[in-house]
Amino acid sequence: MRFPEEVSGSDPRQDGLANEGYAMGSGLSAGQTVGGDRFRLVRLIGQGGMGMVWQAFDERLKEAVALKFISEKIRGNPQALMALRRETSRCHSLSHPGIIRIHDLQEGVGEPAFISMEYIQGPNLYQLARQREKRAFRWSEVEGWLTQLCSALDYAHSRGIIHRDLKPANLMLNASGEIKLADFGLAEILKTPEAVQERHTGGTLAYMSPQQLSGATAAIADDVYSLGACLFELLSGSPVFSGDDVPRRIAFEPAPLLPAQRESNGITDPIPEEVEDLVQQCLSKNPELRPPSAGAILRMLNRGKEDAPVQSQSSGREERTTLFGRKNFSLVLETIAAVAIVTLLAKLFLATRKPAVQTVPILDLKQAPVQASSSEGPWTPEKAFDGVHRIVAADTHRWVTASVLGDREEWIAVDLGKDMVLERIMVDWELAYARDFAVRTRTSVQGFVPDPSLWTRVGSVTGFREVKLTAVNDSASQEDVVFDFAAGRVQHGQYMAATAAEIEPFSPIARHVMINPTGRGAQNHGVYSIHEIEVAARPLNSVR
Amino acid sequence: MERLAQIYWYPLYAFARRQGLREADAEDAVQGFLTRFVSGSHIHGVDSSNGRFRSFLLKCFKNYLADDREKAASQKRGGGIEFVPLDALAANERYRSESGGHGLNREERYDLDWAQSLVAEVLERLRRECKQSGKEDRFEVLIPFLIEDPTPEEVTLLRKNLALGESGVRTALRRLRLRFGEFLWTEIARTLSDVSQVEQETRYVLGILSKTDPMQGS
Repeated sequence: MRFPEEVSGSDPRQDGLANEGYAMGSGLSAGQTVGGDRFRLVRLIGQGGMGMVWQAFDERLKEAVALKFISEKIRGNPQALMALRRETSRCHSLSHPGIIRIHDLQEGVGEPAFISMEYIQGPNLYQLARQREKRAFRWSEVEGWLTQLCSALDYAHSRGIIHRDLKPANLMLNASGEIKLADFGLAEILKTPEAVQERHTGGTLAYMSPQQLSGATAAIADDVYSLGACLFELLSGSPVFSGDDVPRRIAFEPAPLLPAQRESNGITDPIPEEVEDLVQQCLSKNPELRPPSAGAILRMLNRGKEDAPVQSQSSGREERTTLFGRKNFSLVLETIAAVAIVTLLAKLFLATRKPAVQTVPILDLKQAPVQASSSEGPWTPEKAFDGVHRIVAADTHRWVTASVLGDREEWIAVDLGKDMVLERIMVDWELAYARDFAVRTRTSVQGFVPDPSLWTRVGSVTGFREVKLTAVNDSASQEDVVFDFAAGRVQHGQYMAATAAEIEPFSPIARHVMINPTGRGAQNHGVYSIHEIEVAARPLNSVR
Repeated sequence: MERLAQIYWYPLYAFARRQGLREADAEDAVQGFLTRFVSGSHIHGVDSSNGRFRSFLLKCFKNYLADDREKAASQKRGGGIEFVPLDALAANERYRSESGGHGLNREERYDLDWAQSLVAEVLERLRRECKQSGKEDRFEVLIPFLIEDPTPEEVTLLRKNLALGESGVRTALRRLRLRFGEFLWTEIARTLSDVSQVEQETRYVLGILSKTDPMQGS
């Protein structure tokens, strides 16, 4: 891929220093020699976070180089200068095709101090994006860059060097269209107030992790976040956060979703879903939730599986994706009652919602056929629900009991707290929440269904057209049982019967139910989410 | 300020009830306190409470209950700021139906109420975001599996309900969990003066939530 000549000009967001205070840079001119006459300045190519950057010619090695001049403010700070020397030495050891090579730190007497480095003839990705109508790139373009970038980052991280200033402006493209990462490791050492101010006004805030903003110790997770921020911008044309209060938003707002931002910007070319996921994961506020390394990101993309354990060159840690991350958070979840939290969350959430429908009593209990059908005495709700298990009503946050009164010819669901008969609660429940609603039949189907007419009445009372149970029978094998209320039929496995008398008694324990509410068609199964429904019927041995 | 009320109204109300105030008095106390808090005339002799807003708020409220309840109530009734459009009936019902948290002192119980309100708020924010992206139905179906993985049978039915393959179901669930984690993190971060404490505070939230008994209800 060929690129235009290096785009000149600076942008406050990316290059960002005011000229005042950097007198050393302004004293240079093309043709001037520095570094003991070794380097001849060719042209000013930009203003970096520490000072001006010149293209120069190395008279000794006979090649083009870039010279990054150190500002006087930094040079005048002994602590910063010592750190600069140390870090330059470390970065000099980095040898990777994706990293701009640092040659040396020159501190000649009576001369400006500068860092000599590999010269890249080509734009950076920020400059390149500005040439695009929507300032975004296609995934086919970004994918190759990402591979190179992750390789370079992983290499440096494995040697203990964090970049901490990843941004599109630091991602250079050489003449072959390959990514070269600039300013590696140098931002970390610049902890003088002047340097911090430089970086803030330079517009690099937008790519900083919440931890980096708060001044925490540098970590690989910071670079991973910045990488995610770069990807977000390269693929959407917009930075993750912008405006006057970026630091606050980085700390207190979840990153926007990449698909939503792309749609908002009118970008329609598709990107793989795993890339969308990757970007959001990199932008997690919790560093534990981010990919552990750049190498891991590469492997994620190659595999397309984010949950398999992997080993990273840089960290050696396993990757596991749990709700709150690996390490400490996964340990926390393992040591507390997850079920309690699931139920609590469901209850909390449901408590804030209004019921989907108003429950309407369909039958006055006093009018219910009360038959002393056994020696147990008059029918009472408590007796009717002998053996019934409690059920949480999905939208009422109350305990509700449902029962099939096999010998009472009615389905009645009763709110034990209020003795109110509820109709259509099953039909109108959003059953996804009724996880505790379990059906257990403890007597025979014969006991359920004395005759077909009952089924049609059950259907009209409950609003069920059909109930299908996946039951486990006495032999512990699974069978489907379909109660077709409309047709007055019960189908047990492959056995269709008009009356329950034709079905051999069994005691299925239903585990999964799909409810087909009235009017939606007999064939339309699975309208609602699966749940477990548990009811009990009175044993009828003593009745008939 | 609406967010303030959404999360803290009930914990403060429940705390007041446990202090012995009756329904109406507790409502008045919370209304009056929050009105004054918003106006800035709430702070006297209260330290930073280790940078935790919930603790700071409770300390201010305790002072208020001890010193200013009568005065503030009369100010409120006298035409002060209408502050909280909260369903007091719902709060009363919740207080009557609450269970669990046995063995917690009043401050810990307040923290529990706060944690529950916080998580409820997070879930609501998550639901709104899903609705904005046209995926509210997906949210409804997947929320029961926020922490506990579905069984293979449940995955089968989720596939039917969501019209997704198995990997699609797992991807959707993973995305929901990640997003929930983000909302929870940022919601907790808002309550701290030092964001480096978010991880520790999140552990505390999870820990105190585990002290409820899910098998009891109204």
